[in-house]
Amino acid sequence: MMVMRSSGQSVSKGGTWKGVLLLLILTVLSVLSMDILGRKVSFIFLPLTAIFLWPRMENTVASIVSILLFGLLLDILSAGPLGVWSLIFLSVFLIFGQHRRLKPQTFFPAFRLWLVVLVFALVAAYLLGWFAIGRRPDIPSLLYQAAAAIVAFPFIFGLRQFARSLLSDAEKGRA
Amino acid sequence: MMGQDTDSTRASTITMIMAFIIAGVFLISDRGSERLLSQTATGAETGIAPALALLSRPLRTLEGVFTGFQDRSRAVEENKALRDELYTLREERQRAQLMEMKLARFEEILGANPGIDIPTKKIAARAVSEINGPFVRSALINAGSRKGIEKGHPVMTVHGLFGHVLRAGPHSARVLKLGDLNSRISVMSARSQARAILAGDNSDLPLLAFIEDRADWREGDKVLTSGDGGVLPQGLPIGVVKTHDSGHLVVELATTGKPTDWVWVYPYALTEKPDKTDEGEDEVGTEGQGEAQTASAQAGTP
Repeated sequence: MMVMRSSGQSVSKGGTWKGVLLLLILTVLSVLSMDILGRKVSFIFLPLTAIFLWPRMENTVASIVSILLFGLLLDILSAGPLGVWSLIFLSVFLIFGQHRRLKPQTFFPAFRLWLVVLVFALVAAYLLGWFAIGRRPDIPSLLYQAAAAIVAFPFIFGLRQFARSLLSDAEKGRA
Repeated sequence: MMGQDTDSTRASTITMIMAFIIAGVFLISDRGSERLLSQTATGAETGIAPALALLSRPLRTLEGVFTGFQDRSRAVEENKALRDELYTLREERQRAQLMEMKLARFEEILGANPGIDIPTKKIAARAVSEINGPFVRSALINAGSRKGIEKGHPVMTVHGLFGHVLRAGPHSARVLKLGDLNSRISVMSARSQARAILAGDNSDLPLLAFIEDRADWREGDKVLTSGDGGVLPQGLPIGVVKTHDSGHLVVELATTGKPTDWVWVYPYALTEKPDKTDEGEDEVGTEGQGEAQTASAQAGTP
């Protein structure tokens, strides 16, 4: 039913904690908001970036449990309906995780795939939110927050690449 | 090796199915009801509030830069408008002082002193996180029950009413904003005293609902809390009436589009209903009303 990784796929040791760390940082940042030119901008889609960039992990079970818990934490911190973000995170992890071997390492292909993930998450958030609160969620709010996530993606991707190069240099140094 | 991979994939599949079931159960259980795990939510908010307060500081500084640019660009015309307003207000103040004297005299003659029910005490706090999301409009403030904040207390900014406290932990409190879907506030027109309910709909322009046929509401009316029900004090400024494209009357909130950093909470005590009559009768009926009031407050209706 689900192929999380094949035996031939390269695996980074201890990858789960990196994903968890990025998810924690982005979850905390996502509940902050900023007033730009009279419009309140939130970054609620930001943690989705961590799911999208989740490292090839050794322990998939730990990753799934972490993603479930952080989804619930985001629901609590954003005071939204419980379970919505957990289901969105898990769906993204399940659907786009299967193509992890195709996960682009350069910016533009990654950005294109990120837009696909965001559209999927928008539709899922709309439908799940509709089910949870009993009426249609505010579409402009969803779009503004998705736009904020699009703007933030290059920075997060760049920071991740920077951190990766630092970590690989450190590993080479030790070797 | 292959056997280990198969076991790992099976464990992942089972975990994924279980995770979906757990998240689904939470979603269905939480639907339309009082939030599950409210103690966990309060605990998580209390734990994260200091970190959010710290992280929000650079963002507030950045907001200040944006606001500074805007303010400078319209400083001259604002200065002129403020001067005009000052001249008008000086005259108004003289009138108000005269009216106050007259009112005090009438109250003395009648032996009545209705007073103003807006508390003089204010509890200052910072709005460390504000969510204007598609599902909910709320904020987290970094003061809680240790400072005297309780569920239902009104939360203000310098511009007007911001919302009311939904739940209070020891060091933080969750505020339900006026635009939230679950927010229902009893309001009145400052001009005509006409009453209505301000019903949030997760948009920037909450609706004026339950308007009587003969109620005199007009575009441009200033909207204040009516104090009906004794849950919020009377006279807190909320916004201005506008006509929506759909023809409904909506309210442009005074706090919309303004940066929210510092807020204050009025420790306003609910007007209590009598527990029992002088004769000690009807005790059960009154208890029922108290429960109804509590249930109403839990559903986000102050």
